[in-house]
Amino acid sequence: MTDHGRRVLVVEDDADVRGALAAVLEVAGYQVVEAAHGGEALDHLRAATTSFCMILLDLFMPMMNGWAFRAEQMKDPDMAAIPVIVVSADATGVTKARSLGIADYLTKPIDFDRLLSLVDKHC
Amino acid sequence: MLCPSAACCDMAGPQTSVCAYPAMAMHVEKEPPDSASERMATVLRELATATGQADVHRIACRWSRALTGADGAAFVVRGRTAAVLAAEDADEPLATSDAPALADWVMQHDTAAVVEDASTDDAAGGPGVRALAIVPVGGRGGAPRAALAVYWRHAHRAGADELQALEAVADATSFALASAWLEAAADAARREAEAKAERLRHVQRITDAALADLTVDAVLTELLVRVREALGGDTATLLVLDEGESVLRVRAAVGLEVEVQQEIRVPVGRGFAGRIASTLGPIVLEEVDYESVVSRYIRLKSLRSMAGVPLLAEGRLIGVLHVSSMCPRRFGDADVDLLGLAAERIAVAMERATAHEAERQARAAAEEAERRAAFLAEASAALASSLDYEETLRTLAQLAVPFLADWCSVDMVEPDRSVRRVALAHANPAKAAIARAAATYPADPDGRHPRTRVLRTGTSELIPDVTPEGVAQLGGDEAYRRALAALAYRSAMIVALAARGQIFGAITLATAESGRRYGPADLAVAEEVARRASAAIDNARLYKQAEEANRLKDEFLSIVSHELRTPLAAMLGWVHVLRLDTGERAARAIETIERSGRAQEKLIEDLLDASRMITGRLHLEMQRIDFQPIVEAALETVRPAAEAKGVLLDVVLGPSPVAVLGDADRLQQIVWNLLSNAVKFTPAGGSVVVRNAVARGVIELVVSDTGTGITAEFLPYVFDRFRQAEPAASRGRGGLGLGLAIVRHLVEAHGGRVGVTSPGEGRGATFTVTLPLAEERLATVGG
Repeated sequence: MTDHGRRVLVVEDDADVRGALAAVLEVAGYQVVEAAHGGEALDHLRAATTSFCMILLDLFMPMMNGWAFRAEQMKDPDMAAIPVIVVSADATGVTKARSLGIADYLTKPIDFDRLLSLVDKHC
Repeated sequence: MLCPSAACCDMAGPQTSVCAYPAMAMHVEKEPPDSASERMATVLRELATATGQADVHRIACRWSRALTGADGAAFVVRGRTAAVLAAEDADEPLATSDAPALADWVMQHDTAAVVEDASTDDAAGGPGVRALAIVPVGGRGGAPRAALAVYWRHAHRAGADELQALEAVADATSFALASAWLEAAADAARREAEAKAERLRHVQRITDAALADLTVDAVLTELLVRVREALGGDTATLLVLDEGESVLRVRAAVGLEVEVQQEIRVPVGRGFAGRIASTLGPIVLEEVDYESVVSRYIRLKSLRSMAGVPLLAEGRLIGVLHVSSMCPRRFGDADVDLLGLAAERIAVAMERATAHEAERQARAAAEEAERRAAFLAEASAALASSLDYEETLRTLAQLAVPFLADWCSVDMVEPDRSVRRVALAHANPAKAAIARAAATYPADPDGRHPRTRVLRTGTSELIPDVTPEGVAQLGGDEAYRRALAALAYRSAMIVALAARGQIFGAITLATAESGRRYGPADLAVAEEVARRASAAIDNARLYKQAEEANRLKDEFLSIVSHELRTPLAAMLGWVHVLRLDTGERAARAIETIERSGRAQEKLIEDLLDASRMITGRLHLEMQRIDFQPIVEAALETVRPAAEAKGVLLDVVLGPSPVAVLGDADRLQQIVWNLLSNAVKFTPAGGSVVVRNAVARGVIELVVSDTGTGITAEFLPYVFDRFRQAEPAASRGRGGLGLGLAIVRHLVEAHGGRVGVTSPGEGRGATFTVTLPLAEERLATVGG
């Protein structure tokens, strides 16, 4: 496994949820970079010093929401290549999320076993 | 006819010595001397061809003389003194003799008289008359009114044959005279009939006038002209009952000036017309007594003779018809009859005209009502066809032109109280552009436009006649007034659009080209249209509100779901971590789980509060407490979050204690909600200013922040349930949008008020809570 293959970008505005996601992934052996909104996430991706095998993306966020981030991500072929799993509290958002061309969709409260198996598949 | 019976002769006999030969007509017919009967036939033929009474008299005299061989003959009629009407002798010696007196006696007694020698009898005769024979003529049941006399210049005793011949001539003459009289009577009757026919023709002409398709006034005037013409008067006047049937006033007249007509007022029972009205019978005045006239005009017009009849309709008095003449004359029975006939026709004409007019008006009203009903039906259909009420109002304006107006506009009051024109229709396309220019809504700050009044009061305005003065009063600039002048409005009306006590617009209708003048009936139609349009608009608005409420509810449920799941996700995540790692991460895990649990508790509390507010089950533990410690406690709760975020709390509190009557927990919830809200919406480096002060029986708490502020559009909805300014997709601050709704409810439950101001987005907001002091509250609540 390459180094970048174990690195996950978590984009989530709620600090507690973000912290929980990060902790779960770290305990499972992944490196986690946290971003509070889409803008921060793009900054991390563009920094290019690191690369990610997976992005966990919340949809409802201030500053730059999930949809806006996804649109920006798709403009850059390198970024676009990184698979995205949407993690949202909005159970009705599945259909909307599908249109984003994402790898998968998880609703809150999160089934962490499923989350880990999905991340493991891509990383 | 000669003396018809012996009784008559017996009566005559002893009274005079000259009654020598009773008449014996039967014997005359029975005696057959051929020559005498032939002669009589000739007499009868001649008398039958006589032309008039004078001719009969002449023929009678000629044959009397011829048949008796007398020197002369005369036809005598009875008057005060008997007079000779015709004589066979040019000298007419009988006229100067005593014969007429004798003839009178003959006529009175219906008996023939003979004088043999006047020189021996003083009772008769005279110069040139010595002998006489006189027989009565006719009688037919009554005393004879004529006699036939023959005389001799010498003494002569008239023989029986001579008397018989004379009586035969008298008999034939009587018959001829009767025929002539009958003929004259027939002539008179014919003339009378012709006169009556002529009157009927007058009446017919009068009736013709009544039948002509004229207004009732024209008909009456025409009838009066004909009445005056038929009766040869100078004036003809029709008076009708007025003022509770106590007074007669002129309804129509000819020969009287309009001013005079208007002045005439005759009390029933007084004066000429008044007496006709009270007696219900005709009155004829041959000579007007100027001392007793009621109406000045009778003297003014020098009216001398008058005739009048009552005007009756189905036996009921409705007026008086009379004619007057300036020349003294006596209006006869025939005139009164004609006047009565004319009165009948006038009454009929008046009733017919009234009925005709009523029918015409009823028909016009029915047609108008039908058109209105059709318009209202069409308008209603249009109103029901769409929930987009602006579209509906445009359709309505199009329908109103030209049915109701040449020009129609609809103006709506916006939420910020400004007025916006949503529809405009004009019958004249050329003027539509001017109308649009004029409609660039003049703000009308002085409120001089009637529409502004309507929008304020909701009361309709009807301007039957638009005047230049009225237009000038509308204010506006020169261009506006010019535009209005160019539109040349004739009549206008403005009706409000309102429902459930709220005025939300106005419909303006005006006429120009059509020249139509609005009246109350038009206003009623406009109001009905406005009422229906208002109901449609209200329905559309309620539907929109219901839709919006439903949308808000869905959004709220989505937010509730999101807000409850988020802390749950954090808790479950850390639980997952704890299962694998009880080392260094454990402390953070427990801390986060606890915080998330509390956050959820707060959310659930808010939801329950909202539910209690809606169902009216929110319970307050009211007691007299000091407000300042409550503010301080809330400040202490929010301070860590503010410090963590880098938001400065600038607090200046007023004097303590400040007693209020309230529920301590709920009051703290009010303050905490406002403070946490302020901190939540204020970025790092910003500040939240908290001030309170006591004034005029209230304590005022002001919480200002330098945060995101509130847009003018959202400002009215800040305290509404479920409302959040930010759309869900970008909302990052969490919360259910219930906090401020709870604040308002709690403040109001404490008898206070809460308000908010904001200079705009990004420029902060200021919330102000005022609560009555305990003393005030106790005073108002009464304990």
